[in-house]
Amino acid sequence: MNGPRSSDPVTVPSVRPSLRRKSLLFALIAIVTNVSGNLLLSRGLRGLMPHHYWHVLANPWVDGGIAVLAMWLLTNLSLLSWADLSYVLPITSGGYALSAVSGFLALGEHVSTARWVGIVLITAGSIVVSRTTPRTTP
Amino acid sequence: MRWLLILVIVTANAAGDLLNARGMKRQGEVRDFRLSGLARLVAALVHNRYVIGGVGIMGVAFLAQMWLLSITDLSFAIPATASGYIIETVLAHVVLGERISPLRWVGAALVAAGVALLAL
Repeated sequence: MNGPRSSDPVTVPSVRPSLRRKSLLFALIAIVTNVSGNLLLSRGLRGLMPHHYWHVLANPWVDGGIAVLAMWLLTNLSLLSWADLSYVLPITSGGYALSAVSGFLALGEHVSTARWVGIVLITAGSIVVSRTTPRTTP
Repeated sequence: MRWLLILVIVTANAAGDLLNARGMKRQGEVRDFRLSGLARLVAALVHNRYVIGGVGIMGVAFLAQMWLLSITDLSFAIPATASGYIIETVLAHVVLGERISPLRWVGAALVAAGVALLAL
């Protein structure tokens, strides 16, 4: 990770090696908070009528989901404060893969071959983008 | 109706991401992650017009997504979301001036293809 990265044509000399580590850590937090926040929210909304606002807001699953999604928002905004949008988007896309895998592991849902290929492609794409320079603008 | 919702979701997600990216670059790199630092960040973001607009538009995208999922299933909704990765990468270059290396293009395309496959 340290030293010149000649394989990357858009390497900016001022990029700190720590910027990449920090970005990957925050991407991981963004993925986990996004997936778990959505899971909590959908668990809480199951069976509730959407127009019964007070029932929705009084539901602890919904409140937990909103709190975790607020953490996701702050994490994502922090990432965007130092990294390119074109870097952040792919490296935080693992949430899609994680949702499918967790459905398989936790709920025993059937995962089709095409979906497994999709999970592999998403993971590979995230890794490829994570090898590029996080920030290419001043 | 569902194609209209897809259009709203992709457009709103892209606009929201672009606004947030620009707003946060103006805000400067976040470095203080103690609770007090995060509270100061939130207090500052409330006055950041780009971020206010960005988060608001993403709220619209979220509601449109819920609506779409209530009238159709994931296998219709997901491939459309996949196109967002390509559209937003192009816009990040055109609007925000980010330099997209060939490697980054390859990665974004892999992710978009992977997301599209999840529908099968």
